[in-house]
Amino acid sequence: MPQEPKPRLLLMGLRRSGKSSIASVVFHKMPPNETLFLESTTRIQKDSIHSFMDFQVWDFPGQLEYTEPSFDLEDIFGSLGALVWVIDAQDDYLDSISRLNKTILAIQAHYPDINVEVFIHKVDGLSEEFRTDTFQDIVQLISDELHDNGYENAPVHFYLTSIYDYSVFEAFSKVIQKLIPNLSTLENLINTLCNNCGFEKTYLFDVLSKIYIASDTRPVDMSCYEMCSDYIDVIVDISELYGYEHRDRKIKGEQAQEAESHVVLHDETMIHLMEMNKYLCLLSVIRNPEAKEKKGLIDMNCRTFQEALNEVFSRSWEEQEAEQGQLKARPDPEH
Amino acid sequence: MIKAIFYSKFDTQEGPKVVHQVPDGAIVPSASAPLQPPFLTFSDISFFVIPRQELCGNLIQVCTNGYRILGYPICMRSARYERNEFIFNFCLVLAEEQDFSTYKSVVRKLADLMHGLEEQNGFLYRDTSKSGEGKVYSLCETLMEDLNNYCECMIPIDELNTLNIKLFPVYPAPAHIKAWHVPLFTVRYQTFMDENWDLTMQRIVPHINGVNSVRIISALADTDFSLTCRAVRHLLYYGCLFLLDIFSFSAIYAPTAQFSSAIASDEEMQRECARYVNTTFATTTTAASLSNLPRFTNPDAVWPPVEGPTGGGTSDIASSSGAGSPPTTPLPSSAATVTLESQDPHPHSQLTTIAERGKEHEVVDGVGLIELYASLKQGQNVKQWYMQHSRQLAYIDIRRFITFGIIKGFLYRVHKYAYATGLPAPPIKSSHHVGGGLTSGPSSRGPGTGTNSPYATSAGDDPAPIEQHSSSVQSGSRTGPFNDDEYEEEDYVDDKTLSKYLDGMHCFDQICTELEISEKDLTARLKRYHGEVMIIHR
Amino acid sequence: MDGRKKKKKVLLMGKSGSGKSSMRSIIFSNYVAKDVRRLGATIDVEHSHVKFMGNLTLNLWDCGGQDAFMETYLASQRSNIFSDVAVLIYVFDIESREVDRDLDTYHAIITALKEYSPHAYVFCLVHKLDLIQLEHRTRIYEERSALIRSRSDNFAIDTFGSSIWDQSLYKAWAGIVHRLIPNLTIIERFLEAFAKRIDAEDVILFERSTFLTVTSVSSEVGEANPYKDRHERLSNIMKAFKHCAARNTHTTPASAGFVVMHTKSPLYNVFLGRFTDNTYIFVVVPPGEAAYNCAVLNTMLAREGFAKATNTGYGDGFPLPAMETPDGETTNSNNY
Repeated sequence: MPQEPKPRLLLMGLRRSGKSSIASVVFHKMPPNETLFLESTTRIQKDSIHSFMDFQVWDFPGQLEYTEPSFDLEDIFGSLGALVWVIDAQDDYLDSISRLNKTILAIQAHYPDINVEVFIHKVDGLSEEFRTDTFQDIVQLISDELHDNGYENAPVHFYLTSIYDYSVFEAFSKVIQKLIPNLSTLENLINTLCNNCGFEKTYLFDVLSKIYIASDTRPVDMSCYEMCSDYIDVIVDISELYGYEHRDRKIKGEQAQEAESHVVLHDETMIHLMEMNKYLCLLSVIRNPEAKEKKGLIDMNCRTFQEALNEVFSRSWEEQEAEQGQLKARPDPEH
Repeated sequence: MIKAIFYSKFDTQEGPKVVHQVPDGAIVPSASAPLQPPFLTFSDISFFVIPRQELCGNLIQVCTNGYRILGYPICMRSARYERNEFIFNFCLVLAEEQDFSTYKSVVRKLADLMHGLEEQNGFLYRDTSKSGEGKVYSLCETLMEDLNNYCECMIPIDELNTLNIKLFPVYPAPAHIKAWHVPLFTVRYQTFMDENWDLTMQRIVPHINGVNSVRIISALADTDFSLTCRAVRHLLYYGCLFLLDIFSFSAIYAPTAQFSSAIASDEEMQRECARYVNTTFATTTTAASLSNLPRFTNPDAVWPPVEGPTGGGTSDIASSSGAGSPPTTPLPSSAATVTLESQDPHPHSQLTTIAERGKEHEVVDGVGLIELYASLKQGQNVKQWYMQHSRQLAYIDIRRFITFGIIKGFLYRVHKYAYATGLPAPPIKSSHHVGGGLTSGPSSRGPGTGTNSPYATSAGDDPAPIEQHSSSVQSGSRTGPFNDDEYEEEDYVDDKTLSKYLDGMHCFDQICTELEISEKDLTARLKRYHGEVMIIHR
Repeated sequence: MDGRKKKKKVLLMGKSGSGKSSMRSIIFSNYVAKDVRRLGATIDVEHSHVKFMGNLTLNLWDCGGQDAFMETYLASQRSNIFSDVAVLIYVFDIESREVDRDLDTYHAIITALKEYSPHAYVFCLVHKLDLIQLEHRTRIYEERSALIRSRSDNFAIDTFGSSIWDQSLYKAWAGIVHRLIPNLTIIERFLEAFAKRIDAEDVILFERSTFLTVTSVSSEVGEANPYKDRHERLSNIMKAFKHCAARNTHTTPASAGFVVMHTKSPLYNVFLGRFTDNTYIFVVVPPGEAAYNCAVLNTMLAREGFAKATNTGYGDGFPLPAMETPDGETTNSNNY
């Protein structure tokens, strides 16, 4: 596995806009209400995330003037990745927007491929209506200003986020997915699985961060996403309680190496979880009553999918090594 | 009388709590008024003063220790409050036996206003002043003082809000006003009317005189009929009016069961009656009755007759006994003759003089009045009655005489109802031979003096001055040459329109008023109805 | 009176704002912790009936803790409030600055209770422990419980430290209901034999709607589990997921639930299913898929045996389903 140039997620924005909170909640499983006590970030926090795909999260202090000549832009933006700009929606955001635009204009000449992801953050405090208005206002302000500076069709994307619900995970999922080299391959694989097993919706989750790195290409269904995400919590928590080693434990027979779990809810909905590898889990929502009768078949299909998945990843990692760590989208591997 | 006013709120630490009380120490013991024993034990009623959230927004009343507590608790939910809620109540304390209906609206209004103030700027929640101090306290204090002393208050609270409260007595809903009702003032409206009054009201009041029916008032005042009804109903609600019936000489009146307990045994009422009906100056007022009277000083417009310079309430008997001046009419065209009752332009008709002059003119005494009233009976209309007692009635205003009995409730009007039996019309014969069917008494030529009742078989025998055409009418002939013109004139009332009224549910007053014809014309018209028509008196 | 119908009066008392209604809402009304911030104050006494384990009805008296209310409880309402009390749950706010005054009030309540219901159980919860820094929690809690005990006269009280933000709340309430459940020994004996038979490391019985632990049995290996508060944690975990399921299937938390849950992993196997009308059984067995599947089948069979065991000889059992389909669906809920 390549160790050197990992894709970078740069968390930027004005001070107190919520960058560190986002990083803590998403990557360190901190309960949202405890983020209130986080101290201000005073220097760049570099977090290495070891997961299905290693990447770095750089948390920037809000007051840092990285556009000053003293900063080496190459050092910051040189590695391909995403710039996540956090705007506090509950605060006056004009200043933040002008800083963002300055940043975009500064880097776009040299690094046109970098994705700019704008998190309109702390929207939990806004009413539904006000949320939409704020969103549109910010989108308009930013695209107008970039347009005035002659920068058309900038690769800027916007998300409404809050650490108190699933939105920040959802947004991060989208950000990360853009960095995944074989996303369309994964999606094709998942679609095939879904169609053959009669699944309502399937997600491939990163267990630690609960970011989903791919899903079938049916429209996103927040309720499925929430249940899957929470079910991971249930299984992770139960595993924490009972997954301890004990020398007196009487092993009673063969057992598969990857965890498998499913729950049937009061309305006959089944949520099925299957561990894919150390980092990834496949979560499916099954509402087809027939599917439950064929639980064995589902398990077998999921195992087949698991093999294909691990093959894709191992191949892409090999590829990375061959290309000196340059992550790049490549044509779908055939298998 | 309000005994106390207090402002109570739910304190998240202490629970229900009296913040301000007027007078000091009335509800909970106060250090600043150690001598004032509390009227009640607050903890006994605190559950009603600050009830649980679901009960807020309702009027509550609770009685304890001889007092009645009226309140309207309000619960406001907002994240800005500690524990998310602010519950308060402004309560009035009254004596338990006191009528509290007028105070219900007061607590309600107070609660609404405070709710609004609290919503605007946290008026109450921010008020942290000690008991007995601050804006909220002085508000309670002023409110209690003003309501007790003036029955109303106008307390400015800030530049936007004023607390306006007036104690309105609550009366039962007044009767619905019908076109044929005749209103009569019980008060002198001139004394309290001003230019801010409702326009309709301003226009109709001059025409309210105890003679005009509501329909005529609306015509005379040129006001919308339904608005007129509402205005009259308004006046009725506040007790400014009586509602009478349309007086006519063909009407029948009879004593009610209260007769013996009313005027028959009440000398004061007899005197009052004498004052009201006495027409001492019969001879002197002829000129006045013809002149255009100042309407606002018509004494008949007010009941009871007002004593004073313009009072006296003497009327001209000559006018009612005079053949050509009917006291009332449903036709607006004859309205000019309506104001025949005149007052004495010279105000020398004080009580004493009435009595004196009464002697001179053989004024009927109390016993005589009672005899006269007692002689009114079913089956005898006013005209017949008058003819029998014309001597005693010489100095009496008959319309006022009848009205007095109606107002006092010992006399009632016997209304006439027409009922179409559905049988073919009987052959026209002399009226008194048609048993039970429609008969027609002779009618005078003046509109409104009306026709006789079917029982008035004796009408023709009595050559009263007001009956000049009795003989011709008595023939009851459909083809009578005399009536030809009239028939053509009236025929716009077709049978179909008429038939709606012939169900026995509509009295003659109503039919005449709504069809705008005189009673005489109606009677004549009924005779030409295609079917048999019965007339019912009750 | 029907011997099976148990109605127990439970007084919930404590100073205003100490969190009585909040914990009641979380445990019995399916609130989640962050929602209780929206609750209003309790005025006077709020009565509620909680059906627990089918035939046990808790008659909860949630008593508003404002000074004025406390005074009436102790004075004019005294006999009404303190008669026939089965359990007094007294809640102390760890943050309170007037510890002495709180204890005085507590003692006055205890005195009144002694007068009218001398045989009542008393539970004291030292609440809002989450507000104390972790390192001081145990010490402060113990100091406080010692103080409380010293003012409890001759009542033998149980104290719990609790917080609505973690499983400690479940621990406290599980302890409370554990005391109230009739024929608990029969249930425990049965579960013990059952656990041994299937070689389970842990068998836990949860009340269905509250997910409170009714009772549990652990094998030796199970006892070695480093997480001593695992049962309460499970209550918390499962209830949180139940809320999520309710939210996303558009139903109320009260009507949401699980038919069955299986989890197989290299280190443990877990099965959760309906046991009786009012309980879930949670079974943890060691690895081995075949053995696990066997244990699941045995659990299904045990339900019937359990129904018989509680039915014959001991009239005071659970109401048990008359007929159950293999996947745990019950067809009739009151079969007596």
